[in-house]
Amino acid sequence: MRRAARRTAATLGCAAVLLSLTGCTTSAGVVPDCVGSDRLVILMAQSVPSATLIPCVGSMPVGWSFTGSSVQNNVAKLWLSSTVAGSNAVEAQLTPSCDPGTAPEVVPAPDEAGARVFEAPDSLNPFRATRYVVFDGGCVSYIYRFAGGVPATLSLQADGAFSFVPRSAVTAAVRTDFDQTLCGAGAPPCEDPG
Amino acid sequence: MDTSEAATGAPAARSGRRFGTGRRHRRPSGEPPALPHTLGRSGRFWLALTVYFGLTILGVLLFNPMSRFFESLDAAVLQRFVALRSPVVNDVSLAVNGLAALWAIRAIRWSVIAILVISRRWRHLLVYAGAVLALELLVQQASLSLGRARPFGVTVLGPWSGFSMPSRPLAALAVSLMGVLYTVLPHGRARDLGKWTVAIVLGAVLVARLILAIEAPTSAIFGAVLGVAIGLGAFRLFVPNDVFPVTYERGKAAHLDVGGSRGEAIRHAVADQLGERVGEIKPIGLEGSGGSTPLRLTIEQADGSHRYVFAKLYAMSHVRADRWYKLGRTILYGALEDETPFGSVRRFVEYEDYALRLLYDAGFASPEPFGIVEITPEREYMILMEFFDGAVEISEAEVSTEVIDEGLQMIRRMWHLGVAHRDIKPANLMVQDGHLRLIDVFFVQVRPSPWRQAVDLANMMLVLALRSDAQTVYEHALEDFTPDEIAEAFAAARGVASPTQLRNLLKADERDLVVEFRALAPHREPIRIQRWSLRRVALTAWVALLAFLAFGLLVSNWTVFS
Repeated sequence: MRRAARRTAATLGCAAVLLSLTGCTTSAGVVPDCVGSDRLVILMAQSVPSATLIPCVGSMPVGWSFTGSSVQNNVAKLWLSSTVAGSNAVEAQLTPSCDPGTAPEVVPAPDEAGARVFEAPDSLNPFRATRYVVFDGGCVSYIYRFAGGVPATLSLQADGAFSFVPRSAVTAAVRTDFDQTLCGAGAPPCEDPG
Repeated sequence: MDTSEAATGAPAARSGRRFGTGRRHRRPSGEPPALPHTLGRSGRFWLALTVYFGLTILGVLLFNPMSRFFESLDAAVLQRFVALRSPVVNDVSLAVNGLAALWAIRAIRWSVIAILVISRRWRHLLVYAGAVLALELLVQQASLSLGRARPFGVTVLGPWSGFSMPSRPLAALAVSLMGVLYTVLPHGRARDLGKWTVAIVLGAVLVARLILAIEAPTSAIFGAVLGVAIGLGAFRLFVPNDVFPVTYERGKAAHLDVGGSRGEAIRHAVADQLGERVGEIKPIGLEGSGGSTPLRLTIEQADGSHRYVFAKLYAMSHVRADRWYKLGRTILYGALEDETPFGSVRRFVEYEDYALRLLYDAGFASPEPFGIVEITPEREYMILMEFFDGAVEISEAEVSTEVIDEGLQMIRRMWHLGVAHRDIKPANLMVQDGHLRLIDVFFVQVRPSPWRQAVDLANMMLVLALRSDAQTVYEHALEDFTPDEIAEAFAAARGVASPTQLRNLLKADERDLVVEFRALAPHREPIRIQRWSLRRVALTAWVALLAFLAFGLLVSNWTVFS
């Protein structure tokens, strides 16, 4: 009886562990906080070494949640989901450059000072649009893909979640925490014999 | 009703000289068993390495100064590799790094899966998929928890994705290659060569990634170590080569390899524990046995002569197989009879030894038991018994009316004794010198259900009729059984009640023997074999839930393979 109970407990435990792992196959849960020492912010700074601003997630509006990130060389992506607008309704994409095309330029938000901002709405229902924030050495594209019937004004809430960390703050944190140099904009040249 | 020993065909003089009378040796405390179960030197090495990395990471997470120390150390080592950069070296490094690219790893994984499916090594396939999945989930979780960035102070030249500690591509490549080693390459020269190849490939990719500064040395090494350790651990634990050898010859997975170290261990154990000297160890009757490895041991005697002894080798895999078999039966049919699984391989052989002694003492023409030999404590045991020299399987022997009578009287005596054999099939009925012998008593049950006793009778009559005819067997059966008892037997003998070998032989026979017997016996409605209970419903629901979860896990992590 005790053996059977142990076996059942072990099976349940394994199933629970496997299930908990299943839910974490993306980098959900690791939120890029708006501080220079944040691990994900540092990684994003490494993905686009030329970028002088690094996107991050500040205060999350009610009904929105951070759902994951994907950081590779030359591109970093962040996703937000909404109980109303749907899963991964907003994607923020950091790249070395971007092409706003014919999108009209708009006035930047206070935390986007020094950058040029372009907005290109594709459709209102369902709401589809792209917002380009172009700055020295990089560009962040916010891609909105809302569920049908969701008002476009909800994008303003999502915009409030995103912010920027200056690269200089990240470089300083790497120097302080690891005694190392973060290669890229604003840093001394990296050793690269190749 | 004649149920004397002579009538049942029990040999008058059984095995001749008593077995196991030689000098025995007690294994002193501290001395390893004949076949010690060890991880092996390499297994211990990789385990130690994994523990070392685990403890170091714990230290880094708990003490910030350690983090700075390792970052500085890593950076210094990495600089030495980066110093090797040149246009040619960079190009070569990028090409070598391609071996750890997603497409390359997927190509390896799908090739292994294809080979395992074609060669029908399902257990290897399951372990391989499990190892890959476990590694991917572990690496993913570890990299998110550790959150280590790419190397600082150098330009990263190659492609990368996500946090760097542990290196996901190196871990994925390592576990995939371990799969090739332990599920595709047969043990021996091919695998030895493979090990060197894997070591060279992993080493080359690791160096290339350091030159390209894709990750720090500790991240790269930890990735490779995790991949190797998880692969090695999974394959050594769940598909050990001794039990599940990689072979491209057709055969049953239940059969253990009795050459090499196991062969020596058998000789050593029999000499120590029974005082007998074993010469040749020959697997026999493998096609008729799925639950153990049947062997014929040649016992060399002091006067230079030899005799044969029959042995069955059992390992934990057989206990697990029995467990799954009983679980399957319970789900498919309910508790037709006792389906309680054995807790250990020791209980397994102890039970068979008991059944052997029970039948032998009752005067059945079953083998004389010679005892149990421990090969590896709690993992591997061998049961020894009399070998029916010159006996042939009943399906290949001439079945006289004497043999028919002996077979039917065996069943009558079992009914009288209150036991059922539960595995009456041609492979378990031998004919020696014109007399019937009953072997493989593992499934014997004391105080069986009346249904099971009836099934034994039907199966015996069917086996006998395969080599004669239904009319003759029926007429002889009437000497020991009433027509109603025979009718009950054929009302009970349906589907799962008959062993697979018997069902296959009945299918291959031009006659429909079951129908012929039913026509000869009085009419009786078939006995339903489905038994419903709360336990069966709960068990079925539980298994369905686990299967659903496993399927969900596979689907949600499909990107690991596709």
